[in-house]
Amino acid sequence: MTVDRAPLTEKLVSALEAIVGPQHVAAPETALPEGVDGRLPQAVVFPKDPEEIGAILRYANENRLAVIPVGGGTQLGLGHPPERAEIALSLSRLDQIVAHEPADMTVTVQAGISIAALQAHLARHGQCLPYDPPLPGRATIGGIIATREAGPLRQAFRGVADRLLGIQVVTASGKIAKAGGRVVKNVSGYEMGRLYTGSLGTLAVIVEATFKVQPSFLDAGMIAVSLPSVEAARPVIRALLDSDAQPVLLELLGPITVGAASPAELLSGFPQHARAFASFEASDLPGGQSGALLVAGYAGTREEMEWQLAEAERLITPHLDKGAAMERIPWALGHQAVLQAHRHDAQRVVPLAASAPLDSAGARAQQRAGTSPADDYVTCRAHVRASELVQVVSQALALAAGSGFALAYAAHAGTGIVRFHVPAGDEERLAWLIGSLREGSIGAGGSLIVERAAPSLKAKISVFGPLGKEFFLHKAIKERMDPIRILNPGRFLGNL
Amino acid sequence: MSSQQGAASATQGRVTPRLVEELRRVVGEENVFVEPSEVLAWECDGYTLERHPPEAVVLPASTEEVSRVMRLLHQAQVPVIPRGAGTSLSGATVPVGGGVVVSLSRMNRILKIDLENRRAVVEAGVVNLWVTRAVENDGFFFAPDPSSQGACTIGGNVATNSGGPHTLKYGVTINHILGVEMVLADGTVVELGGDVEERPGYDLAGFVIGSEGTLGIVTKAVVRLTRAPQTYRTLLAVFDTIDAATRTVSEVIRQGIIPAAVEMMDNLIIQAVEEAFHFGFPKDAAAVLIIELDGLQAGIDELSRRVQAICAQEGAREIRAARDEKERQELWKARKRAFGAIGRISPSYVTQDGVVPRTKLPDILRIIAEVGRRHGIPIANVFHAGDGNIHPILLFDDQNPDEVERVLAASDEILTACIELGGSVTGEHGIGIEKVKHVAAMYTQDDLDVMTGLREVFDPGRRLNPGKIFPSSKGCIEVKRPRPKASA
Ligand SMILES: Cc1cc2nc3c(=O)[nH]c(=O)nc-3n(C[C@H](O)[C@H](O)[C@H](O)COP(=O)(O)OP(=O)(O)OC[C@H]3O[C@@H](n4cnc5c(N)ncnc54)[C@H](O)[C@@H]3O)c2cc1C
Ligand SMILES: Cc1cc2nc3c(=O)[nH]c(=O)nc-3n(C[C@H](O)[C@H](O)[C@H](O)COP(=O)(O)OP(=O)(O)OC[C@H]3O[C@@H](n4cnc5c(N)ncnc54)[C@H](O)[C@@H]3O)c2cc1C
Repeated sequence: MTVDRAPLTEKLVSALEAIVGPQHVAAPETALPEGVDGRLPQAVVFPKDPEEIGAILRYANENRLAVIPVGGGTQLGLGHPPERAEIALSLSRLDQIVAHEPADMTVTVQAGISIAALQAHLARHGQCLPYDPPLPGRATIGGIIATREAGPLRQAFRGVADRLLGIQVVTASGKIAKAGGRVVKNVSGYEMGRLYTGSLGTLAVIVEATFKVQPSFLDAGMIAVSLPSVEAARPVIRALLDSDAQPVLLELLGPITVGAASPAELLSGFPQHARAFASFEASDLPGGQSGALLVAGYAGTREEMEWQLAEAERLITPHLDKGAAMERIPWALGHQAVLQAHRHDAQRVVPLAASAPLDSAGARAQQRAGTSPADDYVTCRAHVRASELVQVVSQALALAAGSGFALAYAAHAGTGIVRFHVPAGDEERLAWLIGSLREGSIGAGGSLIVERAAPSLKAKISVFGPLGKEFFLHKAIKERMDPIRILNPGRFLGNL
Repeated sequence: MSSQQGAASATQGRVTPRLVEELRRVVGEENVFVEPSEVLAWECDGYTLERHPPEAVVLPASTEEVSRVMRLLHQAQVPVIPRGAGTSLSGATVPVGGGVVVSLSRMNRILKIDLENRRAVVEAGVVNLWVTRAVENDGFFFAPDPSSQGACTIGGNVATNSGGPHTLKYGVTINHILGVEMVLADGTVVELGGDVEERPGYDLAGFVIGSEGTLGIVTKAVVRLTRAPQTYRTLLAVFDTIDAATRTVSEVIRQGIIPAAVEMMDNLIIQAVEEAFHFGFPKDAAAVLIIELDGLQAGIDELSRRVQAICAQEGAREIRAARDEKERQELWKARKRAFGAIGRISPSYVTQDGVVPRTKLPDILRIIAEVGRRHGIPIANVFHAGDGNIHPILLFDDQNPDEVERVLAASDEILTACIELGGSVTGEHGIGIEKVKHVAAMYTQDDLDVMTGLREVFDPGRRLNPGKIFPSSKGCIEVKRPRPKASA
C-alpha cells in the first residue's frame, strides 16, 4: 500500500501545540503510520477535553483543514478514502467514566474509553453493555457509535443507538452541544443520538455518551450445528426463532467441510480456517467444502439457559441428517470463533500509539509486524430481510464458485446481516463481484456496503451503493452541520 | 438561526375560500372543515389548559392526498398541525397560531404483516392497540403500550416517541420503528429507513421519531413485532409509606432484575380507582406497586420469589400475585383506567411527565407532596416507577382562575425539581406547548441551535407545528397564548 505523505506544516503543528501543549501533538509517522486509507495526515493531536477539541475544530474551520476523528483506529478504513486529511484527532485522552449509578442502570462515559475498560468497570457491578465488537481492548465507545456496528448480540439487544440515552458532541464549528440526558426516558428535543450514530464522524466529534446498561449474563451456553449446506440452515433458523427459547445470538458461518470434524473442532479451528481462507484460491477449495455452521447462544439464569439449550436441541434434532451434527459448546469458544469469522484479522491488528509520540522506529517495526491489513482480503456487509438471508448467502456462494472466488461468510442470521470475505486480488474482477453481491442484497430488500478494501479498489467501486431518492436530505444535513466540510470529508454516502 | 424563530408568523398565509376549495378537490367536500362550530373539536387535545381553534381541518385518505394537501398549504404558506387521535397530554396539537390541522384518522389500514421478519407496515392513523390485536393470536405484540393505546395512533406514537408501562423492559417507540414514510412541508414524499435493520447513510428514520410533527407528516410506519413471552407473573405489593414503595423499585433493579413493568399508584389514585371500578385495592394503603415479570416458565417462580422477598424486606404489608390471566388483566385494567377514574373526583386535571434517575424517586415524590400542600392542589400519582418516569396528576377546577394559576405554578416547580435531580421534564408525553419554557432550562442555546438548524433542513419555513418544542428567542413575535377558558 502506498501512503501519500503531505509535507509537514510547521504552522499547523505550532497552532495545535498552542492548543494542547507540545507533548500532545505527534508526527503521523509515529502515531498513525498506516495513515487513513492511504492518506497520512500532517499531524496527530491528542486533546484532553471538549474545550480543546472545540479550539482545534475552530482552527480547522478557519483554515479549511480536514479533521479525522480517531478512536481505537480499528475501523479507520471504513468509508471512501478521505478527500483530505490534515489533522488526525485522537480521543484517547478522553477515556473516563463520568458517572455510573448501578441502581439507575445508566453509565456516562467519555468517547475515547475502550469497550473493554468500560465492560471491566461494569462487570464489577454485575452489569454490562451488550455489545461485543472484535478488538474490545481497542475499539472505543465513540468509534462504536460513529460506525453503528452491531455484533452478534444484536439478535437480543438491538443496535448501539437503542441504548444510547444522551450524547455530547463538539460540532464542526467548535461548539459543545448535547442532546438527550442521563435518564432512561426522555423526549425533549430531537433524537440527535440517532443522527450521530453511524455518521462516521462526518457531522460532529462525539465526546461523551450515556447508555442504558444491562445486568450481566448469569449463565450462557451455545449449541453448534454443522449442516451439509447453507440451504439446510433455513428451516433450522426458522424453528429456533419461532420458539419460546430465544437465542441471544444466532450465527451462520461457512463454508465448512462437512464431516471433517465435530462442530466444536470446526469452531475452534475456525479462526485459522477463516484466516487461511483469506489467502485461499478457489482452486484450493476441497469439493466437500459447502457446508455451514449454525451457532445459537442462550443466556439467563442457569435454569433458563438449561431449558433453552434443551429446547433448542429438541428443535434441531429433526433436521439432523446427511452428515449433520450437533454439539453443545462453551460460550467463550463459540463467541470468540464467531467474532473471528466476522473479522479475520482481529488478532493481528497492532495497537496504535496511545497518546504521546512513540519512538518512531519502534512503532513502525511494530506496525509492520502485522501484514498490511487492508490488502489481504475484502469484506462486504449486507443488510437484507432476515427471511431471505440464506438465499442471499446461497446465491453469493454460487456466484463466487462460478467465477472462481473463494468466498467466506459470517451472518447474524436472525437480523439479516451478513459479511462476505474474499481474498484481495484482481480489482476489476473484485469490482464485478461486489456489484453482483450488491444486486443480490438489494433484491432482498436491503443494501451492501464495502467495509474493507484497499483504497485502489475503493476507487473502482461504490462503497455504500446507490444513494437513494432521499439523498438530498443526507446532503442537506451534512451541509447544515459541517458547511466547510472539515469532518471526514468525502468518506460517507455520496462522498459527503 | 434562532433569531428567525418568530419570523414564520410574519409571512404566514391565510386560509382563503379559494384554498379551501382546492383542498376540497383533493380530499372531498366532506373531509374539509372550516366552520367555527365544526373546527372547535380540534381546538385542543388531552391537555386542556390551552385552546385555540384551527382555521381549517383536512382529513386526507392516502399518502398521495397528504402530499397534494401539503403542496397547496406550502404554496399558501399556511402553518400545518399534524394530528392523530389528539390524546397528547402536552398540547402538541393545539393550533396556537392558527393554521390547518391535517388529521391522519382516515389513514387507518394495516397494510402488511410479515411474521417471519417480525414486522408490520401500517398507516399512521392506525390505533396502537389494533396492531397487537392483529398479531396476538400468532404470539406477537407491538411493545409500546401507552395507557391511551385504545385511542392513540401509531403516527402520534412515532411523533412523541411514546412509552408505556412495559417500556421498562421493551423500550419506547423508537426501539420498535424500522422505517417511516413521511411527507415533508413542501409535499415531497420520503421513505426513511425501511424493511431491513439498517440503510447506508444517516439514520433519518431514527432521527425524526419524537419530533412532534415538526419535521414532516408521517403517513406510514414499518413497526417491529415482538414475540410474546411464554409466561407472566404479576404482583401487587401494598405499602404503608410511599418511601418504602419507591425504595423497593430501586432495590429490584439494583439486584439485576428487569421486570417487564413496575408501576406505582398512590393513595389518591387507589381511592379514585376503587370508587370507580371496585377492583379491591386496599383504600388505606399509601402506595401500591404493580410488578410484572415475564419470560420463560423455567425460573420465573424463583424470580417472583426474589422480588417478593425484596418487597417484604422493604416493608410491603401485603403481596398478592395474580392467579390467572383474568386477574392479571384486571390489574392492568385498573392501572390503565386510572386516568379515567380521576375524572370522577375532579372536574379538571393536568398530568405531568417528568423523569428522574430511579434512585431519586423518593426525593421527587416528597417534593411533589410538599408542592401540592403549599399550593393547596391535590396531586395524585400513578406512574412508570421502574423508569423513574413520574406522572403527578394535579387536580383542579378550570372554572377557578386562581386554581389554574396555582396548578401552573405547582407544575413548574415539579418539573424544575426533575431537572435539578438530573432528569428531564418529559419521558413520553413530549414538550408540546406546555413545556416549551422548560426546554431552555435543559439545553443551552448551542444545543438548541443544532436542533433548530436541522429543523430547517426538513422545513425551511418552519410551518410544521409552529410553537412546539423550541422556545422562540427574545425580541421575536411570541405565539399568542390565550388564557385558559372553560371547557365547552
Ligand atoms: C457489537 C459490534 C460488533 C462489531 N463487529 C464487527 C465485525 O464483525 N467486523 C468489523 O470489521 N467491525 C466490527 N465492529 C466494529 C469495530 O469494532 C469497530 O472497529 C469499532 O466500533 C470502531 O471503534 P474505533 O474506536 O476503533 O474507531 P476508529 O477505527 O478509530 O474509527 C472508526 C470511524 O469512526 C470515526 N470516529 C471514531 N471515533 C469518533 C468520535 N469520537 N467522534 C466521531 N467520529 C469518530 C472515525 O473517524 C472513523 O471514521 C463491531 C462493532 C460493534 C460495536
Ligand atoms: C389517558 C391517557 C393516557 C396516556 N398514557 C400515555 C402513556 O402511558 N405513555 C405515553 O407515552 N403517552 C401517553 N399518553 C399521551 C398520548 O396518548 C401519546 O402522546 C400518543 O402517542 C399521542 O397519539 P395521538 O395519535 O393521540 O397523537 P396526537 O395527540 O394527535 O398528536 C401528538 C403529537 O404527534 C403529532 N402527530 C400525530 N400524528 C402525526 C403524524 N402522522 N405525523 C406527524 N406528526 C404527528 C402531533 O402533531 C403532535 O405533535 C396518554 C394520554 C392519555 C389521554
